[in-house]
Amino acid sequence: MQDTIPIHEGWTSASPEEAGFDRQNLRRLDDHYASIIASGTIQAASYILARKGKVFAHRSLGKLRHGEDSADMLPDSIRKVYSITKVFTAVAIHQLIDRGQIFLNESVSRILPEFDNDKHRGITIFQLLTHTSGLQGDPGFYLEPYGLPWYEWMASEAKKAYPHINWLQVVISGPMQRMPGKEWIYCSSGYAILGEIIAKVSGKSYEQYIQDEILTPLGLTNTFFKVPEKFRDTVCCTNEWEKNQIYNPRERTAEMPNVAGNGLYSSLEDLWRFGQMMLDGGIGNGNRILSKRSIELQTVNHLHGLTSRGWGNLHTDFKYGLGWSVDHYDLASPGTFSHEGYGHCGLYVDPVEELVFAFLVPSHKGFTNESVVTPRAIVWSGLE
Amino acid sequence: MSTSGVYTAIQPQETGFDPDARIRLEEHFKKLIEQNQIQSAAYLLSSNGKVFAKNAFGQLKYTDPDSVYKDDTIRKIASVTKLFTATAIFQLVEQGKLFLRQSVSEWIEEFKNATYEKIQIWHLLTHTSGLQADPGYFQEPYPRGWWDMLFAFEPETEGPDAVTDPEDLEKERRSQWIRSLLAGQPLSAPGVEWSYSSAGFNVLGEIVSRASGMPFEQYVMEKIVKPLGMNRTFFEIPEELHDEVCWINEHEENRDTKKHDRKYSPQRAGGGMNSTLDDLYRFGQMLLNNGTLDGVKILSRKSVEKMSSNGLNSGVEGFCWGGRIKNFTYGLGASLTGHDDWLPVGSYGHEGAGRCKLIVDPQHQSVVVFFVPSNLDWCPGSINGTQNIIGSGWL
Repeated sequence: MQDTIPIHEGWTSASPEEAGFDRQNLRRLDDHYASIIASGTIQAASYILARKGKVFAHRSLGKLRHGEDSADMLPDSIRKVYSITKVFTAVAIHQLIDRGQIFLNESVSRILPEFDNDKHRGITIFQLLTHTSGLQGDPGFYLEPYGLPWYEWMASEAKKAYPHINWLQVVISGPMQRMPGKEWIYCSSGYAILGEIIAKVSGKSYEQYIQDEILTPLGLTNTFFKVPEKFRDTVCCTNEWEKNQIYNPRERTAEMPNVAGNGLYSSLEDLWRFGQMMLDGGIGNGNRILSKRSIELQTVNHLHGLTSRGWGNLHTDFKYGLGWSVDHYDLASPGTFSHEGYGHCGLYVDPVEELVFAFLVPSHKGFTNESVVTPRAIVWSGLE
Repeated sequence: MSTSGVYTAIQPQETGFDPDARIRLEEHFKKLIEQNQIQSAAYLLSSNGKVFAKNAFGQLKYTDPDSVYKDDTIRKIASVTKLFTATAIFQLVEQGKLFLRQSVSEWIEEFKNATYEKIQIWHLLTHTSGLQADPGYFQEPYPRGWWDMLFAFEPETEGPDAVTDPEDLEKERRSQWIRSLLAGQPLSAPGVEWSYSSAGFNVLGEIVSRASGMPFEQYVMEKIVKPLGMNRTFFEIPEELHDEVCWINEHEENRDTKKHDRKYSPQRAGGGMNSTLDDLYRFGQMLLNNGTLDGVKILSRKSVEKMSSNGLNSGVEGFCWGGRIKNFTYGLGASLTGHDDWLPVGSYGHEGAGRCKLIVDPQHQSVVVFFVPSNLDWCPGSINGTQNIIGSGWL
């Protein structure tokens, strides 16, 4: 039984005062995270906050691992960020558009012949980015009683029964959920398809492309698809399954779907750098990653009158950017763009406040209001 | 190439059926065989309770060009099985054991949730439940069936989530196919769209088993097939009759000859029976007689009427393999002949993959049965062409 949970502080380059942030809110944030760690809602919490490019808070509390006698979660601990991977994929797609190699509204079938049939020819790169292709959504999206297996598992089982089949065919097997462009249906397999487009067009594997064109130029040295052995003990996880993935990563072959929807491991600092690059018009670490124009387009709403019935909600005019959510939640400025990830974690960028907020709240419970929504309110209400 | 020769128990003039049409029909079958569109053909026509035409042509076994398809050859009837499933359901309705507007969730607990609880038994009979359609129904390029998802619903036997209680384990194994069939989202709310679903008939088979207290296949054999004297009709063809079965490819041969462990598979209520011209004629004549044959009552007249008349509201659409039908009509189990067909409105029946068809024609008091075994994905001449010639024969 602990009365206080130790808080670890990472490097900063400004004080909260210099950043125009009420220091009291940082204390409230830490107290709040500490209380939900004590109540068992989350295993740990870590966050990084930056304003106008200067990091003014960079902290962690709680445990790195789920077992007894675990080490503490540190500000530079690594964690699998799952769906935040999607914005890396989106950035890669926009790089290829910047370079004139693909364009937004073209049919996927020009690049992937598996789509060259009456049912799938209407699917465009835009639709995959915005989750409006009409392909079947992630299991659980409709809170259905029996979820279909995840597409990676489906692909590996299908290969056993039908050896000649390729994973793209498996991912688009069965009838469409909706006709393209009709409904917002969150679709991770759509991002695997984007990953395949990146690979096909660049001539490299998806992972290699991301490494060469984003991770290396941006200096993201703690971001990996496969965590190197020397870092594995610094990776946070919440159950045996995650732990096994860290220490016994599966060898990926071209026959398997890529991980463009959910495969990256990263750290708070790297997530901040990536968000800061978006805020700074596409430049980071002295290198241009993206054009200003592609950032403008990624971070605004592109949908009109579309319905979303995901996760028990009903939205009749759902808004989404090109890969990025443009929901400005409770107190965030309109113009805020973000992506969250399972497990749970998030990266928010508020261009009006010039704020970048990245957080990890590892928990076997996944998303909870206490670990995601309340901290957001504390952060935005601290802006002076 | 004909086998038993021209079979005429009564004169064509008595039937009102044009003898030239029958010749045309046989020429049609011979031509389809010559063109390798079908391997063989067999047909039976009756009028007023008497068979007036029956014949068979072509090869019995795909491996043996000298083998002969006879008019009593046994052949798989595939989805014609669905008429037997519907009959079983109506028998149980008559006994008060279940009712058409009953929620399926009252029989099958996997349906007890917001997503599936509104599905009623009659939705399954009319293919409007919203449960997954047969692979290929939407002309999708990469079809898959619920059996391709079974792996995701196997109970854990190892590790921290292992199911250790033997009763629980057995329960999970028995419900594996149901959960797999229900995985994902339904196609639509019930009653809204027509999407041909053999999966829905598997569910009906399970309901028959639970309501009657005996396995579906046993129920059908005891309560329908045997009482009707259909002695060459089976789910499992006895080995001693394998030489009298028509097979057109290796898959069909393996289906009948290899051992299959069906312990945790659904009963074959969507398709799986095997029969002959004569036996299907008896079943069809029972329906034509409003439920009774040779003094044996299988169904009441009112059940036959319900099975064979439209049960859908107006405005139900069906993609129908590209047909894109706007105002679908369908019986409670039986397919209804369309208004632009050469067979008259009021006739009904079912087609079977492989292929075959059974049609009951009340206007002409006729039963039509034909088998046109074919390996082609699409052979409209053998079904539509055959039906049109038969329809053209009525004087």
